[in-house]
Parts: sequence; structure tokens; C-alpha cells
Amino acid sequence: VRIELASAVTRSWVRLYTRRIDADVRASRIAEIESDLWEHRRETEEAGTDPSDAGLQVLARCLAGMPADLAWRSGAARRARSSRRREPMNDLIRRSWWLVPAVLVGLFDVMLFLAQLTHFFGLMEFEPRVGTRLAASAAWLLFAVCIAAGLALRDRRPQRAGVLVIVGSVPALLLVWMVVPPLLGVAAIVGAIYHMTTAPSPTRAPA
Amino acid sequence: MGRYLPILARMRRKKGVLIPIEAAILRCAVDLQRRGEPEFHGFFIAKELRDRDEARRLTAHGTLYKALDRLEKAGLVQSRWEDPETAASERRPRRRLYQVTGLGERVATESLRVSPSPRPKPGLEPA
Repeated sequence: VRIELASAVTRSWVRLYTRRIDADVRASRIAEIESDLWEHRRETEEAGTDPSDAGLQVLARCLAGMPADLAWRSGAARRARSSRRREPMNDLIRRSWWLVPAVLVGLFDVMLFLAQLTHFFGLMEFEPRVGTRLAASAAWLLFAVCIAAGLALRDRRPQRAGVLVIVGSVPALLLVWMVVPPLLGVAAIVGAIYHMTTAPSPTRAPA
Repeated sequence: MGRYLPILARMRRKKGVLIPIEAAILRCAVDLQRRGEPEFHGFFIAKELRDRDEARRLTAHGTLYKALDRLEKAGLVQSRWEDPETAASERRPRRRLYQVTGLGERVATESLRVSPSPRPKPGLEPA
């Protein structure tokens, strides 16, 4: 096997297994193998080794290293994927963390709406009169709808969405003895204000 | 899956554990450092490994560079690309030069204590 042919096979293999990985990592590996092939060839010339033996050696090094190359490629591709994924994920968390408390407060509003509407509210020692029950029930439903509408509008109309989420979350602050809902309400309100101040303005279509 | 295929669990490499080729490279690199050659490139270390009889033939490309990559990620060696002008003046491709770190030296010493090198080359035995 001629050393030129073995080197060409090795180069092709390196170009093949480094496809679709990070460009810098790929260029670095290709350059490193190129240097290795050159050094190998020079050593062969200096030592006066039979060129066909040297070609076989290069080919054997290429073939024997293929499993390790594939394992390395797999690791490099995985690292590249995770680094690509990490940045948008961080961005998503920064923009959307407040949705969690807002949704929980909305669910809490729905729960109180249902509790007022059914006989379960009796356990909560609310006003037993039907009219009051219905009014309270409607109010909690309205707060839940405010939050749902705010969440639905958060990308298109961030200012309006923030106001709706704040309106839907404020009543939860009044139930201080329940501890968790008011804390969630505070988080939702802080998040809604943050969203209102940081969300980009919706772009208008050109006339 | 490892629960059902115990061999896979055994094959999985533990983090921070050197496989023989990595330990051999590290020991060889430390020897080179002590002999006044702190930096080495891939082919040079492959040749050293062959000459020390730690491997019968030159280490395969994939095995060698994957091991160097792993050693670098573990902080046991560091690398830099040679100055392009140096390579150009010698009319050859640029070399990636590796150097053992302090941590790498300690790990190599430790690995030597746990499993000594197979056979020192005649003339290289300690006095």
C-alpha cells in the first residue's frame, strides 16, 4: 500500500467522521491528523522504511482507530447539541419562569370558583347564602379568566397581558392565612411586571 | 439497561479513571518533561510509546487523539497550536503541542505507584 494512498484514505475518513460537528473541533481534528500523517511520512523517509510498509502502518492506524473515532465523534456531537440547547433553554427560563406561579394562581382561582359553586365550600365556612355564593363564585371565575387571558396574550400584547395577570393574582394576596397562594400571587405579579418591562413591543405589519 | 445487561455497566468508563493508553501517555509525557522536552505532539508521543515498548506498534490515530482529548478535558494535559510561522519555516503542517499540567504530573506519579510501567528500555533504568 502506498503511503500516499493510505494518507488519502485516512484524510477521507477524518473528513467523514467529523462531518456535522462543531466547525472548530472539526478543523482542529483534521489539522492534527494532517500533522500526524506528515510526521509519519517524514519519519519513514528518515528511517528509510519501505514505503509500502509505511503505507500499511498508516492504514492500520486509521482502521484500528475507527471505533475510537466514532466514540469521539459521538461525544463531540453530544457536547455540541447540549451547548446549542443550553442557551435557548436559559433564555426560555428567564422569560417564562413567572408563568408557573401565574398558572398556579389561576388554578387556585378556579378551585375557589368550584368550591363556591358546589357544596364543598361548606367546609370553608363561607357565607351560606346562595346569592353571595354565586357572586363570589363569579368573581373567582373572573379572576381565573383574567389570568388565562393574560397568559394567552403575553406575546402579542405584553402590557395588557401583564395587567390581566396582576388583576387575576391580587385577590390571592388577600388570603394571607393560606400562605402559599399569596406567595404565588406575589411571584406572579412580580413576573408580570418584569414581563411588561422587558418584553419586546409587538411589531406592526407595514401598511 | 445496565441492570439487564451487566456487561454494559462494566464496559461504561467511570469518570476520572484513566484507561491504560491514557496512563501510558501521561507517564510518557512526564518522562519527556523530566528529560527537558515539556511539549510534545501527537505523532511524537505515539513514537515514544512504541519505543518504550508500551505498545508494539504506533498507536492508532483514533485511540491516540481520543485519549489526548480526554486527558485535556480532565485537565491533565493542556494544548496549544504551534506558531504558524514556525511551521511555515519548516515547510510542514502546524503541530498541536501538548504539555502535562501539575495535576497531570501528580496523577502520573500516582498511576506509576499503583501500576509501574511494564519494562523500561535498556539504558533508561533509574541509577
